[in-house]
Amino acid sequence: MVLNRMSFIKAWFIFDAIIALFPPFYWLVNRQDSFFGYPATLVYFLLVSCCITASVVVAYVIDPNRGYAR
Amino acid sequence: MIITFGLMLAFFAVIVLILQLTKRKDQSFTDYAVGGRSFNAKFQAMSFLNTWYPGAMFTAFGGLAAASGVISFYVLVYSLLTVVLMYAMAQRVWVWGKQFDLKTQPDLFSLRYNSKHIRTIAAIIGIISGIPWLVLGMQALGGLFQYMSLGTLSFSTAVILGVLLIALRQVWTVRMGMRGVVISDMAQGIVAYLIGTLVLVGLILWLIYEKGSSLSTLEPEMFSLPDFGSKEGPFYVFSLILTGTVGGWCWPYIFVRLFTADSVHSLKKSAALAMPLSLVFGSALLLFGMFSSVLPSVAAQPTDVWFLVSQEAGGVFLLGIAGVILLAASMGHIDGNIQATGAQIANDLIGNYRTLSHPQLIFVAKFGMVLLTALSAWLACMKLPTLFSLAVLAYQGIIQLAVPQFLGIFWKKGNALGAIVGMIAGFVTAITLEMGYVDILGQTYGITSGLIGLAVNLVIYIAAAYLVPHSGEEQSRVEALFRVSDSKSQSHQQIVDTANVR
Repeated sequence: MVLNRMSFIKAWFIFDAIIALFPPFYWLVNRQDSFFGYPATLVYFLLVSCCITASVVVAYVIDPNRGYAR
Repeated sequence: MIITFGLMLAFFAVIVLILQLTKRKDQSFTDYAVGGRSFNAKFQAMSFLNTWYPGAMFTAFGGLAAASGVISFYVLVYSLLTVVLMYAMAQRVWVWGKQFDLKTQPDLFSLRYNSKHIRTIAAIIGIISGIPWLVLGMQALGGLFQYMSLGTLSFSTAVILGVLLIALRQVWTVRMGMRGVVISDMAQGIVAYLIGTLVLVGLILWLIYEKGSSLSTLEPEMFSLPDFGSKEGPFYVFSLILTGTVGGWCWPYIFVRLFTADSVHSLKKSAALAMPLSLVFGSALLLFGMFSSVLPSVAAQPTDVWFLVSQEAGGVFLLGIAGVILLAASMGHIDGNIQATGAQIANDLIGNYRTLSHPQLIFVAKFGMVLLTALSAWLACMKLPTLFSLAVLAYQGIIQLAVPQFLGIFWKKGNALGAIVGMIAGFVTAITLEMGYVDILGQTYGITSGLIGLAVNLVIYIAAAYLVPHSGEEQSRVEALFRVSDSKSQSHQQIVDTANVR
């Protein structure tokens, strides 16, 4: 269970890095006019930012080692 | 003018009062350099934000959003992604810091690579790279003072006054060290990022409802990113985000935040607290800049967007509040930079070659801070046309610390030879490309000189790790070092003794 949580956190962090640092995503959104009526590039940056923020908050909440080394 | 300067002076007086009331005698150099590793998550979170987001966020990045639009969001993405890195390395770095009494970033390099000289090299790169940013921060206060004087002060007079104020503020940084920096960061951070966000949201609403600004009224170019065929190149945004993410923790004044927490728990909690704040503040600031671009005054002077819109929306009083917010953000960054540099001068330069007692270390750190403040103040009052270029160059240089730093924390094979040679080769590559081969950079599709240097650095580091493997003794030491941070037992003195053979 603990291993699963750690793996989940690691996978989410790697996912953060991929969506933020993979240039084809920039090129893709740059060639879209809009996403649900909003500029695609702006939506991309805001979604990526929210995803990264959520990953750290969730990681803290479910981190089994968060209390270690007080 | 009485209102604007009155507000700033009142804020300055409150900060000084807080520092005076919380002053206490430092028992050791650890107390002075890292605040005795005593700060909880809330202090840690605000201290990180106040050091990470300087006053230039409101001018340079607000201006970038107003002038260039959505590309400015790269700063938000890397500011958040860098906290993921902090979360990942929190446990190992904090435990090493506590167990081996690490006080600076070069201290960690020295421990991990069992080398005295790497401490000096890392310190020199950190100190030299930080000075242009310190000077720029002081000069930015000149712009602030000129706006607060409602245009009555000349720029040179405003710079001198700004520098005098921030130099005066350093009296408490020098006297109180890290404890003073972190405590004042809390007050300054509340003003800069909590009140600052409220003001930004208010200004966005004013721009929407009073000025008719909206996403649909902005020029389409405001939403475009560099792509194939653009001047910057298709990998430009990638370079900016990667450089910012890994480079953030290479700055000594940011890295030392990992040593000031009272536990790993506090560090991780501080990340969880800082992220939502950072997200809301950063988004509000960049959207504010974009929405402001419809104003003719902002289109003419985008870097003054913060002052121009505040004054137009709320008159002199709101301009004064805007000045206080920018001053609060600037003070946090400048204080942190000066404190970390002073600690490095004592601990990693002088203290690396002479055995100094705790009082002697504190004295040298204070003396270094006074010298650095005086040098930066003097440089800030001079006209230095290449200063901004030097600052950009410094960033390409400082990120060369990333390879030995992150690989050293997460990978056991790296050695001192690869770390030192790789770092120097990466630094030289970045500087040479930036200074002598700008034409080549135009053909790299947006990959910056720093990233090319980083690739050279990485290849050398990995090659050295395999070609010159650790001796048996060093292998045991590194294994023990990693066991210290992985072990959940608090009584592992034997492991610590094995690891600590520097």
